[in-house]
Amino acid sequence: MPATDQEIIELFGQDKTKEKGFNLLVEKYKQDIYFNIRRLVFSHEDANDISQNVLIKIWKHLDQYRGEAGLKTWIIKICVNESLTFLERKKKMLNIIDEEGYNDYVTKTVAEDRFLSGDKIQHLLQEAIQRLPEKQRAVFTLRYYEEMPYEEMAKIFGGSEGGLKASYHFAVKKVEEFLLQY
Amino acid sequence: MNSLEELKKENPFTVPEGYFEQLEKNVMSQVARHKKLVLRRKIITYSAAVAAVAVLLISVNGFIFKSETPAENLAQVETTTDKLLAVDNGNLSALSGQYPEVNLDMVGFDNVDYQILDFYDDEMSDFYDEMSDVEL
Repeated sequence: MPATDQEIIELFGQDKTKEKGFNLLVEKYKQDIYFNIRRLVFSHEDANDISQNVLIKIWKHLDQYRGEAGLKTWIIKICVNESLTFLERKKKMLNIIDEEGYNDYVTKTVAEDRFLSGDKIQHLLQEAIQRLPEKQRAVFTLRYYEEMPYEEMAKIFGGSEGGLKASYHFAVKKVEEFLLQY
Repeated sequence: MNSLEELKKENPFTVPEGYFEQLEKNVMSQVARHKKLVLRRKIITYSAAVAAVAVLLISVNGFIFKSETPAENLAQVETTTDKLLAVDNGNLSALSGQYPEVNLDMVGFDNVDYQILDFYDDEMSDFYDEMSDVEL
């Protein structure tokens, strides 16, 4: 049975048990961290790098966690921020300036990915998600896959619940329009 | 397919075998390295602080006591005493000539040369002798 968030925080708060507390956190949340990042950045290699960065950030800053949001929400917020920063940098590095160029890049990446299973419609769904603007992609994946309440999402993105609902609604529409083409 | 709701919600992403165990190991080894780094930084900061305090204390000590070693202090005291005695024996006699009304017993020096008082008396008697010859 995994440790409770309270146990993790208490263990982490004491010098002697800090590492043990962190180890329990890694065990409990490593998959959540990895897959939330993977849905945003798509590639396994990138998701692996960002996951490690996120976990090290958590190690460095968990003592600053004040419990305003749940521990999982706090962790996912770090995942989202790190992923968005990474995507911004990657876009600049790849020198992609227009939407068409980005979509071509996404199609190629999804087709060549070694760590993607599922049928054709699942691949198309991932391609549709990768074509969404980064922040809208984050809103969509958290709502669609994690079924995260808008109230929690507002703690991550900082906007109003209404704005997030609208963002999700537009994202769903774009994804459905893309899937309808096939 | 007309709506996203018709689609089965599944996770199509896979990872290499044993990936999550490896991720955990990598992260824990990075944490151990980070801990060492933090400890080393603390030691360096502490050592620098101790060194700075030591330098400050040495500087303050040097400033307050300058070059005053006990031997130098003693030499300085002896020189000052000699100078005072010189004032006593030399300048004081000249001083008493200018201010005859000064009672040297009041000055408080034990080794005052009292001959100057004799000289003063002789001079005064000569003066009185001379005055007595003057016709008024």
